[in-house]
Amino acid sequence: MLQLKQLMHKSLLAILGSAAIAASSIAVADSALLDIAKAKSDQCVADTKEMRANHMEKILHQRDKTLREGIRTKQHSLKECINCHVEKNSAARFGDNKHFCSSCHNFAAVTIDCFQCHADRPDSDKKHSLNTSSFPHYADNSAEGVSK
Amino acid sequence: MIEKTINFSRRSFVGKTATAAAGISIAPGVFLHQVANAKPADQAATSEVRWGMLINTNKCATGCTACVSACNEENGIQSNDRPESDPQWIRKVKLRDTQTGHVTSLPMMCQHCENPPCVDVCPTGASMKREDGIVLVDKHICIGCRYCMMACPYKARSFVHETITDQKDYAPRGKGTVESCTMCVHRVDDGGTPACVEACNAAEHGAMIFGDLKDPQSEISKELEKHGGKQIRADLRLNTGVRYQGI
Amino acid sequence: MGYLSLLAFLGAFVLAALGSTYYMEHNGHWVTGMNNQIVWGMPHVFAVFLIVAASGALNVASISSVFNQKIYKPLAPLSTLLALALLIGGLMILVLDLGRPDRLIVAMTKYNFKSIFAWNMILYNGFFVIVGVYAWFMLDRTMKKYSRYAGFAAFIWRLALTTGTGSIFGFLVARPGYDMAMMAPMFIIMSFSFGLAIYLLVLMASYNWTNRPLGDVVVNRLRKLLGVFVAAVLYFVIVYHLTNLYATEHHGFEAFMLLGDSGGSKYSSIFWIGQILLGSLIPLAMIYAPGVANCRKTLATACVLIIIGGLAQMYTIIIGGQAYPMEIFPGMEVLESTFADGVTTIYSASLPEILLGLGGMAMSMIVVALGIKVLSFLPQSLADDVADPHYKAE
Repeated sequence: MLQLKQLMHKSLLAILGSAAIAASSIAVADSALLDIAKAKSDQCVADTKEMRANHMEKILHQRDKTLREGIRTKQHSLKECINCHVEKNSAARFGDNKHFCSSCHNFAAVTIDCFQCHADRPDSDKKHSLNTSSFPHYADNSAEGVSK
Repeated sequence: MIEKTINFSRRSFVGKTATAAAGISIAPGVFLHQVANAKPADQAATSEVRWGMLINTNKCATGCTACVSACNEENGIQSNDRPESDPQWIRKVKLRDTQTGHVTSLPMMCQHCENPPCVDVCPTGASMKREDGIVLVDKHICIGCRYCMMACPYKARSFVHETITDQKDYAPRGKGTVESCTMCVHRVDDGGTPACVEACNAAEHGAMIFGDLKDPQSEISKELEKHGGKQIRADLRLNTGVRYQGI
Repeated sequence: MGYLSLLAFLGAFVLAALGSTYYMEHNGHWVTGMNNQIVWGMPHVFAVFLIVAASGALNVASISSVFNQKIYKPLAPLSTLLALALLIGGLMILVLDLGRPDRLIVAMTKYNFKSIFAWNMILYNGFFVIVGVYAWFMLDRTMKKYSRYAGFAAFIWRLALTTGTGSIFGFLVARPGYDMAMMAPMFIIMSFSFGLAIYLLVLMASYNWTNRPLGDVVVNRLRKLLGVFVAAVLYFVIVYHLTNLYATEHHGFEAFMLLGDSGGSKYSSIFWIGQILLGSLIPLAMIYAPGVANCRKTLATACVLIIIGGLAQMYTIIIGGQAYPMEIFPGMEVLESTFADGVTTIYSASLPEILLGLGGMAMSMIVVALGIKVLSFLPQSLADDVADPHYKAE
């Protein structure tokens, strides 16, 4: 079951990925499902292909390290995903097609429960990470080779 | 299991960075106290420290709820005007000794036991104690069975009865799971002080001291050595990390 | 009542339970009677009752296999079916009342072996396997020779299961109503009584509805056994309270539970009227009164009263135990607190919680009804000349 689900997930993402490329080169009207929030892939912690396929494992690994051990590196932290990919005070909330996470998860019909507990947009008191440096996730991660 | 790689000890790190880090201000008027103790972000909490609190009930002012407000503000705890089901991480309690009539006021919260009953009873291991003694709920695997609430001798835990949105990004909280005081673990990992202690100091009561119980040079250890501090329900031998004076 | 209308009737309760769950989970548990003081409410009363009764429903099978009593042999398969059905109903309630029922998979894959609750999950799952195998061995002619061994394993397992259930409460050191090792044996004897009462009701009802003969020999044996179990539960309850009364530190709790002091009158009423009078004394009289020895209606009424008394007992244990204020500050009186310190909590079950509990019971009965229909759990006849090896026609 799980494998089948993952397979479906991956193939759907592949379709989605190619559709997204098509959408960016040719103007496609009225394709709400493919209206993915800006990913800014050139600045992400890994290339788009890798992130699309494996972002959940990175977040899962980091979640246990942070909660149970207090390791708070930013590279794979969900908080930083949100800081980058969701605008401060964004009108699009998790569940809306325009929310970065939902834009894919709604389409692929993969249910996640992250945002039952986690904030789905950046803390309004904080500056948007993308505006602070070109490599936000590496900014204060001077001790290299940590959460690889 | 997750590998623990500690390349150098906390103390040697502190030696190298103390001068650089001391006295950083994050906002006008707000200083990161004890920032010299900051654990580098990539290092795990270790059992070389045990975080604790000492509360002097003689300094704790009756009617003052600065610590409670600060906790609610810090962790995004909002009331739905349903006191029976609203979460409370810290509460003020006023007590009278039935023998002497002496009245005391104190803040009550998770006592961060060394042998926490909530951790013992949790079926999934969601209730857990960090190496540095902070007791937390791993909401990723909490199934909301509430057995920890049955087991806690201090009624320190709350069940989240309602949907929560716009949480603080450092304090995730959600419906259907159990939660309690985290000793502001996000601040502690950043070298800071729990919000309640900071608020108590800001209100100039100074009834709460936060620090490392294992460091004999820390303010809390010195004060405990000099004047002592009691555990609530010491008979249960839980070796609490929160101690009280004046009860 | 036709078979299909019976299923439809029970199914309506199950649907109501599922609807209640959706309502509670969608809104959050604030819509129920529970709060941060009473964290286990009416669903737990039903769930723990059914789980305890599940183990007790296995009595008849145990007597036949472990103690080799021939008269009980034809009764044993129904006993295993009922045990499985009651456990399914109880666990259904327990899971649907979780804060995060969607995380059942987490509960099944992540175990903290220090937790008696985690051990219980293993005990419940093992119970399904062992009792399932036991039922299979009894119903399959080629495996019948092994059924005795399976029966022995099931007997040991059910004792462990009820010990585990009782220990969930017995291990709670901080609450004066619980912290007692006697909880485990008390739960075992409670299981004997509740389980047999349900078994007798199901036996009499199913033979009645399917027009099969059921003789007095079998029924009277079970009736007398039930009387012993009810008396034994009463004995354990007396010893439990005497033990608490011996220790001065528990006098407050006893005054609360027995006399209704410090706002506990609701719980003491349920204790005296529900548990002691309706659940123990009247059924005992109905079982042992000489004039009604062969009266099925009297016996059925006694069984229903024992079930009501059992639910009342669960209510006083689970909810009464939480309602009594925990002594956090010994020697101190609480003058002010925002979190109900030192105050008795009054719990009122909400309709969804009650519907969830009843739905679990209905679920159990559906499983029994389906099982009886599909497999040969019921012998064609339990008339005296068939059932009793010593039968002589008068």
